[in-house]
Amino acid sequence: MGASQMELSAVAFWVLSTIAVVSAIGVVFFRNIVYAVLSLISTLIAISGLFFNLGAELVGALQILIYAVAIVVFYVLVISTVPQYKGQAIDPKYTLLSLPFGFILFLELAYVSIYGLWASNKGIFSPDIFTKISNVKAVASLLFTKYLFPFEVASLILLVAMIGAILLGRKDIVEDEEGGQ
Amino acid sequence: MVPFEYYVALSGLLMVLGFIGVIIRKNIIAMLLSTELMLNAVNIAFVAFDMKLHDVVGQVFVFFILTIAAAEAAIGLGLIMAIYRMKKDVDVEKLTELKG
Amino acid sequence: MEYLWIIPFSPLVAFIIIGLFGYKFLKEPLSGILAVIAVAISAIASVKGFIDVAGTGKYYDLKLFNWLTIGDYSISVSIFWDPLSALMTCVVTCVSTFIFIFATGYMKGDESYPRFFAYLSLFVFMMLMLTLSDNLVQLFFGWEGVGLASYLLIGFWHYKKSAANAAMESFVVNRVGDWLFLLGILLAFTTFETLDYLQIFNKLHGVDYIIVTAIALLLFGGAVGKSAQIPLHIWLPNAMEGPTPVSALIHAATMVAAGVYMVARLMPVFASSEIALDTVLFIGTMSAFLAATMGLVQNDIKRIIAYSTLSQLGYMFAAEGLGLFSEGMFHLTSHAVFKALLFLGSGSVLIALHHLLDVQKMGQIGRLMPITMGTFLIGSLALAGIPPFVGFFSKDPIIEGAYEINTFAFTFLWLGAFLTAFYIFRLFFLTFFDGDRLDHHIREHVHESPPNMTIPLIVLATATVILGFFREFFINFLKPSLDPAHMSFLSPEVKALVNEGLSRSHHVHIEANAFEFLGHSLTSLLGILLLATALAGIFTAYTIYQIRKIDPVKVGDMFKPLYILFYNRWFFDKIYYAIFVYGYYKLSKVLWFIGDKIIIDGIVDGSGKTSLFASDIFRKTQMGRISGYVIQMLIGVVIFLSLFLFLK
Repeated sequence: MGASQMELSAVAFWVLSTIAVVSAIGVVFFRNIVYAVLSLISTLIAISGLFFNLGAELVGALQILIYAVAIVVFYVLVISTVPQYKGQAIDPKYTLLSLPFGFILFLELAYVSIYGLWASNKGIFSPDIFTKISNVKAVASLLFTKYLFPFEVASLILLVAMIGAILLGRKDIVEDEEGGQ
Repeated sequence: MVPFEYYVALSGLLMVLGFIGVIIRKNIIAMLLSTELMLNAVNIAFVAFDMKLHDVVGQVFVFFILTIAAAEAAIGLGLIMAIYRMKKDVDVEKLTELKG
Repeated sequence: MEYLWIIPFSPLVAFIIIGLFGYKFLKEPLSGILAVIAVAISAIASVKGFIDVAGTGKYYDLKLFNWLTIGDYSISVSIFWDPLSALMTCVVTCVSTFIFIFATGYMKGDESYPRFFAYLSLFVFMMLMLTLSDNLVQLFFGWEGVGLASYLLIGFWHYKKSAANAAMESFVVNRVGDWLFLLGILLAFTTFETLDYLQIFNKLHGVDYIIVTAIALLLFGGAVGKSAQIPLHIWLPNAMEGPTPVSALIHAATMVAAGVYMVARLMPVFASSEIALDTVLFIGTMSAFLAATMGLVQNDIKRIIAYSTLSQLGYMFAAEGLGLFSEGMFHLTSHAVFKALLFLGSGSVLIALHHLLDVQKMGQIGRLMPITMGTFLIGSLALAGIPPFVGFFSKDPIIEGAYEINTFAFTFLWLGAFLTAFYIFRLFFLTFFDGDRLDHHIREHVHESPPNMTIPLIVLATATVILGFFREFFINFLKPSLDPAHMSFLSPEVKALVNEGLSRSHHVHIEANAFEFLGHSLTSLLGILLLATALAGIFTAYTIYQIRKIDPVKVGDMFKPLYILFYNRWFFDKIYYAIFVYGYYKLSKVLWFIGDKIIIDGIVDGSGKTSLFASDIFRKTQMGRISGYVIQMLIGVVIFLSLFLFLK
């Protein structure tokens, strides 16, 4: 990799992470829920960019597909069903209490990550293999051999979740005299 | 390349932001949004470690996290719909049944 | 000498038999007869032993069995037979025999007849264990046992509230003395590592003066309780609630004399400490005087005699405090005889008058009960100290000895003698002569008592007359026990120590021979003074109460403050009540309030309130807000992470 490429990835990192953090703050602090959802989308895309930056193409693509598209659509649908929330965005009591602890937690996590021990685990792949086969291939090869069973279970979970969501969403379950929303 | 520790630190930051979001938001839907944020933070950490250790197990795990996050979001929102129909409100304070 | 074991165990057997079978098989008068026989056997055995030891002056130490072994030392049940214990045992058994015979008549018709004799036999057994003991533990066993028997007998008519209270009072006050006694025993054991008399005596010369004094004073504390000296005297007058034979036996002749006997028995210990002897002298003198003042104004026939007992015990202790141990023991013997006589006489009067106790309501029964009156007169003369009765030969030497040794003691003992003569003759005149105050219904039934009551009276009266002339015999008889020069069981160093302790009495010379003593008394100034005092007491009583030349009521008014003081028994009862009873009651109330209410209820209620309070606080963590739970998680994570990071 050339110097400019390294620079690019570094620059990309800083830019994308800034966007991610700022959008995250937006998610947390916006009063209007639609603005919050939009901030979330922004965060998700930035994170996906970070994935690509790291070289994990499969999960990067999947992130956009699943998160930024499907899940956000869920949220938007629900938000549109529910009338506008009129209360305060943020509970001041809890803010006061949680910000310090959150800050401490962040410092500790940063401390752990920067000064922590890194066991040099030897993975099954050597560094240059990724130049020969693509990332997708590499992930897929692991996914369908070693982790096949969790894969199948995950699909089952999705099925269950689907059934659950349908049941929950039905109107018959909830006694609703006024009918509808 | 930026040192991998920065990615992990970023993950930590996002995680904490999500955590705080869960705590301080009063709208229940917004709480769920913050939860999604936390999950994403974890994803970043996984992938960062993966690249450092030259392995793909982390990405497999991210795959699964994605799946589960989707399922969880679906169920959660379904529940919110049901609760809304019952209580006609999304303010988390009004949704508690316990008497303070 | 093995036959000596019959002495204590004969009454014990009687107690067991009467106790187990009395109500079923040995109804009256069988249990009485059995008890009398048992005591009589003891009496015969003790007299034989007395004669045996009189000639030789030897001592015998017989051990029955080992009761308890502590390290090197073992406590055993044993008999120590030397002149002193022989004398005491004879006094106890012989006087008991006559009192038992009297009691068969006195208790006639009482439904608890067998129980009475069972308790009496128990008492005699305990008393004998006390006198025959050769170590402090057996002494204490007997000591406590007579306290128990006394309690049982004072409260014999337990359905009478006053009797039950008196029994309880006697036991509790005795207990104070017994506690001191026990401390003395403990101190003695730690000091000497043995509790046998002979071994203690022979170790005396090595011990610190303060420790010996402490031991002697603690043991004397027990004697103060048991012999009802000031300040633990309050129980004895109330003990008169018991039947008269009980008063005669226990509270005149034997149990109350146990304290005197104990001091005499442990003479080397007391003689080693000047302070102990002084204390004994002081308390004895004070008791002698104060009790005599209290007896002046009582109206209950038995209580007057009870105060007289207190007073005479004071004389005995005073004698021992002066170093005149033999004189003290001789006075104990003579007192046992004439005091038993006086009590039995009063018992006879009570039976005749249907248990009327108030002297102010009696009168002019002398002609109707000649034997009782005659014997009572002899007893009174003995008590007053008129020759030739035994009281003169035993009491006057003490006062004369006091004159030579200690003026303070002499003053009070001399005044006490005057008061003694006065009050006993006051009693005599008011009961048997003087005016006719008796209720006519009762007067019709007054008659002399049956022979089983009058014969003991006559026997005791005879003894009162002749015993005095055996003075020399007694003094010489007691030498091997109470005169250091003759005590064969003491080592030379201890003999020297004891001699030094008794040095206060060395310059006193009192004639042992009765006739010489009589002659001396009639010729010396002191003797004449004492005799005159006694006669003056009698004459004053005669003047006030018999011929009524001086009105007692006017005399009482003249000395009103004194009268009130004496009548209220120097307010001892009231002071003790205020301090101990009332004080204890108040203390209990305070402790109840602080201890029970505040502390314990506080803890119990408090723990309830605390958990309510704590739960109120902890309730706030489960509000139902998800945010609350999440924040707790956050805090938890932070804490654990910090712990891991900073403890690494």
